[in-house]
Amino acid sequence: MKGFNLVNARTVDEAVKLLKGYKGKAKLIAGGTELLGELKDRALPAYPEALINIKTIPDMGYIREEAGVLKIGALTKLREMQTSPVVKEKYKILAQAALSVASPQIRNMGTVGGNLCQDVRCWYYRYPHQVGGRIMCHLKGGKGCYALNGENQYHSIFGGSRAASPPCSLACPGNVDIPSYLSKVREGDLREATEILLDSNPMPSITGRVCPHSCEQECNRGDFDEPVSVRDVERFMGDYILEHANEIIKSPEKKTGQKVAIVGSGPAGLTAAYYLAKRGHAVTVFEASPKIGGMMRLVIPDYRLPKDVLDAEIEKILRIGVEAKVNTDVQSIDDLFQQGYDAVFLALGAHSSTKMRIKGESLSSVMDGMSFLSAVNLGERVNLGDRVAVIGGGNTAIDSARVALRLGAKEVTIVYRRTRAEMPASGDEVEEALSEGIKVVFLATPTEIKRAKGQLELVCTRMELGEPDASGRRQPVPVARSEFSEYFDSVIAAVGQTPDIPGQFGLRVRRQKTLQVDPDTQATDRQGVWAGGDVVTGSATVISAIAAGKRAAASIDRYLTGAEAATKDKATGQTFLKFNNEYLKKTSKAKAPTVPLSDRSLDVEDTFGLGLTEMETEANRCFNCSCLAVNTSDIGVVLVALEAKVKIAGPEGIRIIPINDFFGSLGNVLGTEEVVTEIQVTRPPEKAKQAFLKFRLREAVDFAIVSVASVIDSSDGVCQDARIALGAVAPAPVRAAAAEQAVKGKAIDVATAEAASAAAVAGAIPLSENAYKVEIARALVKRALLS
Amino acid sequence: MEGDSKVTIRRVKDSQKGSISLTVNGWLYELAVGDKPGEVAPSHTLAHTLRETLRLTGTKISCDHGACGACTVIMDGETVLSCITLTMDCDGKSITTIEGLEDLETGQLHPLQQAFIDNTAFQCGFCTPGIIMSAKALLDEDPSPTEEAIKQALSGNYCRCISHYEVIKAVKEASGRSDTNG
Repeated sequence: MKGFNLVNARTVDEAVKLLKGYKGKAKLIAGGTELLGELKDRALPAYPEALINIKTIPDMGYIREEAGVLKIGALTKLREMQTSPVVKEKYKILAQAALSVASPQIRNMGTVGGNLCQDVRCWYYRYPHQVGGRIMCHLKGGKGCYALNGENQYHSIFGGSRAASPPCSLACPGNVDIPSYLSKVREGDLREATEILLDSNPMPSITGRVCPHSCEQECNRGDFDEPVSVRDVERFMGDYILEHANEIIKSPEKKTGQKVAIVGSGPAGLTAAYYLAKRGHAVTVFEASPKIGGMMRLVIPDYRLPKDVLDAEIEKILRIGVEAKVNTDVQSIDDLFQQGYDAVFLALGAHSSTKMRIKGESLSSVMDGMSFLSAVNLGERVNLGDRVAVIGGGNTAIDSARVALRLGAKEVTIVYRRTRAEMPASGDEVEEALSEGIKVVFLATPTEIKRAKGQLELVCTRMELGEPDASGRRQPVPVARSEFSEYFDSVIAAVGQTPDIPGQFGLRVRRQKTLQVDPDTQATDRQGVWAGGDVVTGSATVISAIAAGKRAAASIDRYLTGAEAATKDKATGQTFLKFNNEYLKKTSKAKAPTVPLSDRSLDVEDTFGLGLTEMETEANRCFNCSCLAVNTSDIGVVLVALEAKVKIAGPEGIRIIPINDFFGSLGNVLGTEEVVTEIQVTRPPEKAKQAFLKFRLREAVDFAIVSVASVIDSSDGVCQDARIALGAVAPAPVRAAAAEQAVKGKAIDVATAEAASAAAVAGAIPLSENAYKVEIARALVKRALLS
Repeated sequence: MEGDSKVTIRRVKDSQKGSISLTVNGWLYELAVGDKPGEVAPSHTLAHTLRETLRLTGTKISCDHGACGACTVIMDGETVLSCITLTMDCDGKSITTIEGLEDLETGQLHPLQQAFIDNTAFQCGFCTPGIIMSAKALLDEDPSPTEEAIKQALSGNYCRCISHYEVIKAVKEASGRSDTNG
């Protein structure tokens, strides 16, 4: 076993302080019967620096009954519980559960608290590191759950728990909670799905069309068959919201009286406007050009984002009380403050095209991508001639090339200095461009443009990839004496855009001409001024601008209202994450129909959306990535049936919580600095029938495959109160509420027991190899009720 | 934070405690705490210390995860699994291993050991020391156990040679004339 410090705690308070001192890098050890095995296997997500020994705390092992409440010290040995007369007599199932744990030796060592706090069980999670190759599952910071499509005979039959952020949300710059809104779609609750989506993305009909969807690249389904088509679902949802905007998009009920100026009306500005207006602030958006929309209007071609969709999204945001001032070029922040604005958000975008800095750049028929695309978007018929070269590898370059083709160019060639792998343009766009017949010359860069016989001679040098640069991409290096020339009618340079920040703003501008902000809040150095979007990042995606707008809005709102940063809500209650197990088999990604290559035009959208049924199918394909391990604590399942309470000591003192809240949905809700000190159980009615049944392969040592604990209180043959809990069937013990309802007020006979046992497993979603657990759970519930 | 650092300093000193003492089979051992050969490190298990440091190799390590019972020893009267017990936790404790069962003066085997031989209650014998220690703890507590109690007490000891029937016979036989004082 790898080394660690072993520190003896003499009091609970000291144990808490020690845990705090080690900042999450220490583990408590009581019996140690589970922990030492995990350490030997290096199964834990992180190897602890120290073990805090709490066995050295005196007086924490006791069993006493006070005023009808059984109090069990957390350090009580399982053997003591199994033999205690009071437990055996009045809390029979607790003694039975203790006796059922592992083996006599383990019961001499293991404690009640340790058993209750035991780690979840999963073959993959506990896979011994030294056997070869660590399995990095969801619980250990990896991408997903191996059991979902692997060996899952002992895993959950009631869904999983979110052990970490799912890879799609993590990959999304806006951290959109994709699995949660897809869950709502599966439940048929489109309205709730739109609420979740709008919480992090106010314009899904736009991202559903133009976002590169890095979520799909990280989707676990992609390793199984094909990723969920998040883009198409999002587009459906976005269009659905636009269609029902009157009902879905509500104006704020209260106004705060605070005024916010937003400079720029692209995705960052509009997003901040939406969330700030929702919070009741009076928002004014200033736009220098005649129309709202920023890059979405100027640069993105109509065939990718139709203007009526953009207009509808803007209308949706303006309707909640956002004022728009177009043709208004803001040159001074001081003026805005003087006009009475309390906060300013700068979302100016990056409108200044980077020069190639080569000879001939200013010749006619040489233009930059931004100017070209915005001219076309404004309805100008730009004459490019037959042969067009586009320089660059970003989305502006790809858009320029595709637009050039649609304008009638016979041959369009992209010249890019690195290779396909380094292209910043989104993969789908590159794919489309290639399929439309656009050529790409990789590893070449222009060095000069000359006039030649009524055409342009583009002189290029071949490049090769050298060491990685600051962006992590391999730096192109010119190959000596490799010049070659190609001839074109026009050349479009799309080699990057930078912001153009008025000097009067008085803000520090970085070398890349962008603004520096706090990455968490988007706040600039100047009080009351925030910035986000391309003006901070340089040209980037719509979704990253949306994410910046949302972060800025949250920070501005806190600034204006003096509210504290919202802490992440502690999950309460128990809901396991569901998925549709019919879709655990291989399926294909939905393919939205597209316009045939020959019919593609400048102003008609290339891609159609999905219909409702196809969209729902995609939602069904989502794995709802979670941990499918099970909690097998025998003491735990019995305590759930006994409706026990757990006493916990922590840095903020003592709290006593119901056992259901203790378990939550994964393992337990104990903080890293908390210690369970006592279990409290109210004595069940004397005549109540208690049962504990445990199904396992061998009678000793093995963990439960399914366990059931029940307390049934009847009078005159009619059930008055029923508490039924299932163990080892989910990441936490499960209270079988439906089964309880099925027996309450009824005489418990075979028919009632059968109805209740069917109800207990009604919501089960077995995996490929564990449907048998559903049958065992059903049988055990029935047997417990009839025992 | 001041309170915290105080605690930490005191604990660090405590963990640098020079030695621990444990009694094994009646002998008192003072073991230095540290990483050098012959010393006890915080991550050493009792099984490791018994076998590697005290050279008492009668205690076996099989699964090393507390599941098979081969490493069973008796600590302060109760069976524990020495492979998942930290030696540092045994400070001041009294431990009996298979080597402690024979009569130290005469070399006479313990009746349980003799009964195992008489009943051929093992084949390879690897699990036998653990089984005998579990049986010893049982007989110390209940000199004439029922068959059910024997099965329960030995339920944490696994044997791959299927000697269980002979084991039960041997324990029953030993229970008739077991000297509970060892």
